[in-house]
Amino acid sequence: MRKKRSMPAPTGGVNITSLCDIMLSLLIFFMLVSKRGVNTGADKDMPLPQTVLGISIEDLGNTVTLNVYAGLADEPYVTTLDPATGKQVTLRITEPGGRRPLEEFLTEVRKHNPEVKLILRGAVDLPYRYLEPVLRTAAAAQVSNVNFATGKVEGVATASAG
Amino acid sequence: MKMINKDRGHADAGPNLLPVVNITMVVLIVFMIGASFAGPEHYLVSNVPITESGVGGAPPPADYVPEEPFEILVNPYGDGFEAIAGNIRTTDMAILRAALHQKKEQFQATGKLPPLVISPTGNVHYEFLIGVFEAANEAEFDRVSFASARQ
Repeated sequence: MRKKRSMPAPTGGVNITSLCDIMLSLLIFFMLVSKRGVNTGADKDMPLPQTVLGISIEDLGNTVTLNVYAGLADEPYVTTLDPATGKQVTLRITEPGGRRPLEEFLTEVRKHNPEVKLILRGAVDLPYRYLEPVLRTAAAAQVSNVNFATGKVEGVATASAG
Repeated sequence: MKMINKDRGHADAGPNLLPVVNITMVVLIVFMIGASFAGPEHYLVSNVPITESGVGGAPPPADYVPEEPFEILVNPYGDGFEAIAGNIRTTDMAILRAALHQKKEQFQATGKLPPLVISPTGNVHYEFLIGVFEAANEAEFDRVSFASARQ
């Protein structure tokens, strides 16, 4: 007796394989472009000045973020992320022995990446006397692209830079 | 003779993908929202962050005429600031913005837009410096820098 080939049982749903493919592709794309979990060393608790103007920096890998705080004896203390260890380090402008740790750090960074962008973060009430030595040190290390981090005033569009 | 259909059930064989689809979709939406809203901060850029007021280095060529910068003095004033630039003297950021716009138009009429130098004292708060810097950027001065702190 010839065996009858039965029809496949109705599944009662649509084929979601292509949906899965597209969704996974989109998911991977957005995961790659997302900046979630990227640690730049920025002090997120620092109250930044608010501005309307400003650009956003897409390529954070090309930047060095310096948090500037008021220190002792009119000298600022600066924290940043050490690219070698991935840990937060504190850098002084000058040390008693004459060493200039911040300048050495910036010079080293610039040697590896001449196009490096500096992001400066200072609190709203930081007096200029603490910021000036950092600007001078950046100039001495020949880092000319300085970006002052500011908070966005709500509801205002921002330009974009690479 | 009754035949046992061994093929039954093959059509829906394999793992159930619905939970995967649900979770993936939620994660996808989270990343899409995260991508559409940029971070809570942005940046004011300067390619000449600080200007040396002293002299030094190689002497300039004989025919070199130094460019006279347009200087804004910024002093602390109560809880705020006071900006002085030529005939501009204000403690209000909106007035400073308008005055800088006007000044820029005057410079443009002469065909020469000088570099703008913000010259604060050491006690001026960063908030006000950024405000003056933003006002200069808004007035479209293309070379804005900070000078050494005045005493």
